[in-house]
Amino acid sequence: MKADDFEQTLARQPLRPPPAEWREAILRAARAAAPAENRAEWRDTLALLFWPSPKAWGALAAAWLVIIGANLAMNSGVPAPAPARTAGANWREQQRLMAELLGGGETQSIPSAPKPSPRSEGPGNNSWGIGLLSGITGDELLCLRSGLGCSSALFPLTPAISLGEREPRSPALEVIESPGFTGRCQQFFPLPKGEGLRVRGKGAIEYAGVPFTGKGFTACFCSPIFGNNAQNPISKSALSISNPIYG
Amino acid sequence: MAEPADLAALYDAHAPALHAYLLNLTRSEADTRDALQEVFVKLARQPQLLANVRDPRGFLLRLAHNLAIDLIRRQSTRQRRHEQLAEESAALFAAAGDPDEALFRRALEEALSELPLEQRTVVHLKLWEGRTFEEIAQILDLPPNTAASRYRYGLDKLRARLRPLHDELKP
Repeated sequence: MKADDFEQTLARQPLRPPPAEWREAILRAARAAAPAENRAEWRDTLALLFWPSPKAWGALAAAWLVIIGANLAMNSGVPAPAPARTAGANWREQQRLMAELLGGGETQSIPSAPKPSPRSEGPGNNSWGIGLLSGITGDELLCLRSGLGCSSALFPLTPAISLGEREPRSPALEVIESPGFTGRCQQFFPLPKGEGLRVRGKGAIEYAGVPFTGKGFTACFCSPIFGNNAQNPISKSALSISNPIYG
Repeated sequence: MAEPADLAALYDAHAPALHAYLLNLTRSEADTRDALQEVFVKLARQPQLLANVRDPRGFLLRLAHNLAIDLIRRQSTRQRRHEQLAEESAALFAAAGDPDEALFRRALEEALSELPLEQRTVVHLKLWEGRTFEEIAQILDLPPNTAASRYRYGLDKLRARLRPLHDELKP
């Protein structure tokens, strides 16, 4: 079909080009929406890196695989390391060393002041769980729960000097050494008026009339109930009378 | 793969034709820009689209046509009406220095806007893209005879509308 004059006139009308500012905006949007292009660039970069010597890279990978396999095989043949010492074993070792330091065959436990700690960490909380986890036996756990003679503090396992080379013994050890120490109650408050009990020296004479052995401790086991005179000869009234400090 | 430089070259080569076709189709500057950007975003996402294409311009015209039709269908009637009010400034043809030429171009734009969309697309592809009816049929996914008949009907309407002005302005 041959175009007539009218068609040619129409076809000669120039069309308006797109605004120049569209070009950059459209191309920027198109490039931003092409994640596959970035992946292709990354793939090309890897190919460029590995392509010059693919056999060398393959051999290196194989060597690493052999090393890893050998390492795994060697680890599987070695017996497992001995388990770490549990808290119970540590506690028994401390008891043995304490008995050795005290010089006697007694293995009495030493009452120690409770270490200040949060209530949640006290012996009444989670002690069974701790015992199960740390391997403590039932007796040790009961000891821990009673709060007598048990301490969670680690004792120094390597004394600096031997038994015969030690300096003069502390007066506190004389008290501790007395039989039945752990079962007795303390008669006086530990630090009355900021001075404390003096068991030796000039002020010790003040306690000469105290009818207690062990310098400040009752002679026999005290009961949890303070006024039980059947087992505790030191009654509350007798204690209040005989106390030379609080008189 | 369409590198950034390829995208720029594609834009420089085909964006004017695509812009005019889309503008004639949508009669909206904003829709034209959206459709044109979507064409190049599609090319950037799928660089293989033009891999085995013998006629890139025809392929891009078909892509732009489909995107424009989708865009028009997505718009609501209210939005279309609102944009029709604002699209009067969207000139399809370049500005002319001669007042007679400017008058004729303005009349041609109005006559084209009164054509149905099917006839307008065929007329545009035939007159300003120089496509044969076979190519137009491929671009618009039509039988060639349908494309030819649509062109004939559309051209008759334009002639009836512009013939007096054309004869008057004819030197």
